[in-house]
Amino acid sequence: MKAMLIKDVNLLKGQKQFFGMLFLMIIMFTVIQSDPTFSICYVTLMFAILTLTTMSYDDYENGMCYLLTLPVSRREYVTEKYLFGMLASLSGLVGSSLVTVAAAYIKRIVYPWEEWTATAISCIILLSLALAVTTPIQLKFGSEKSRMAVFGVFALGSVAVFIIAKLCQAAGIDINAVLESAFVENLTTTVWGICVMAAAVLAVSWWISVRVLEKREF
Amino acid sequence: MLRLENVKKQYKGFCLDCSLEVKEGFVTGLVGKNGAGKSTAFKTALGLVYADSGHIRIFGKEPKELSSGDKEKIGVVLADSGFSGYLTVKNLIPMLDRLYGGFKKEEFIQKCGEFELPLDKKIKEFSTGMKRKLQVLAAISHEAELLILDEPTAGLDVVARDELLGLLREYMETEGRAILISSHISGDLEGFCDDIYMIDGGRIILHEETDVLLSNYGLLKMTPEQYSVLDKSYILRHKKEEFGYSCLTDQKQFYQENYPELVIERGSIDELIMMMIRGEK
Repeated sequence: MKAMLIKDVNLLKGQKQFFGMLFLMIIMFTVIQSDPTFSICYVTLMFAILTLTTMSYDDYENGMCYLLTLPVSRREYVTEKYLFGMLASLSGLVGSSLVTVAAAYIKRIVYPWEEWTATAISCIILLSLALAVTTPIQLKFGSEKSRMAVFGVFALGSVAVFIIAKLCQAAGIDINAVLESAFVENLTTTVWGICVMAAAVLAVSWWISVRVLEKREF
Repeated sequence: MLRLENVKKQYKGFCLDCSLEVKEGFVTGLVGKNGAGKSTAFKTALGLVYADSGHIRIFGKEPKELSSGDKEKIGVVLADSGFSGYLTVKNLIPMLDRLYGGFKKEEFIQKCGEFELPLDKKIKEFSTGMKRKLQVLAAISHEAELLILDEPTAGLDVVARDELLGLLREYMETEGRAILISSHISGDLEGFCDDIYMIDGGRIILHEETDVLLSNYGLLKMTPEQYSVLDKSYILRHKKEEFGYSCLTDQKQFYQENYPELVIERGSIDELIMMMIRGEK
């Protein structure tokens, strides 16, 4: 698995322009927009998406086929992608936090520790969901078709949220009251609950990805 | 080392139905025209394509049972796939070093230099021939016991081809090794393989030791009159030609002795393939 991590890190080394652009965007969002939260979330999610980029690079000119003749099992390949996704995203989170906090300090923007913590937890949950949704789709459909598939999944997700909101409204459930109860009165429990759910979703996604790749023929 | 027994794989419009064996100490060739099933056979053997039926054994195990340790003993070149084009050779070195316990780093770098493979250039900028050279060098860099090489000489000029085959000959000097190789340049295989399988339409239509193929097989050329009185007991295929008939035999000597008036050619592997595929039984 370490060999695959080395490969992916080397693949990312070729993305210097992308990282330079991200760095500029952090500065821009923090200094001009005075919005450190957005900078951190944006960069962290961008780093999560890099995992997809490495899969596209692996698949370039049918390269995945050759990759699987090396001493790497399909299960190891999938596990490494999730691990790499988490490591890359956390690196993005740490890096963007450092740059953002520094920029906020220079611009004299107040950025409390509690707000950073909330941002970091939200980012980790979001990137876990992004990885969980996009990885099996990318493995199943390849880099070209997966874009449409990912779009479809997020569209379906939005429709599902809309329908749930409408059903709650019809049933006389006050969603705002529920959210307030969850995030104000029971914040710790809610955060832990969401973290456990995100971990569960990641575990299910990993299992699906392994099945997808084990069934795939080249 | 590798055995495929009645391995079948059905696609729309194509069916692989293949049995072959690669023995220790042997270089086994697989020849056939484009689309004959060579790559499918290779991929099935490597577990990249799943057989519908039949048995595949590499080192006595099914492909899906192969551990990382077993896979370290296999070196592969694929006709339609390779290392990611976004990596450089320099990027590959730590990866191969981590993957293979027996990776000979210094030798690999030295061979890359000899074969004029730049270490810092992205692989996607390599020519087809350079990509092949890189794959072959990677395949032989880690003390593999079995090489599975699908078209390793594709895109190479004569000199590079000769150098690469030289490397493979050198590789075979160590005991306990074997190679399964395919090439559309049959000349490569004639002088290199111990035995040759011929595949057409997904089926193995001929298997013979190369020495036998070159010494016993021959092409007989004759007029229609000569053909009409010919003993056809040892004729494998015949084909109508402008001058009369061409016939393929695996008993060249019989016809040399009994029909001295016939033109009998040694027949290259290309000609044998043509007769086996295009000729009638």
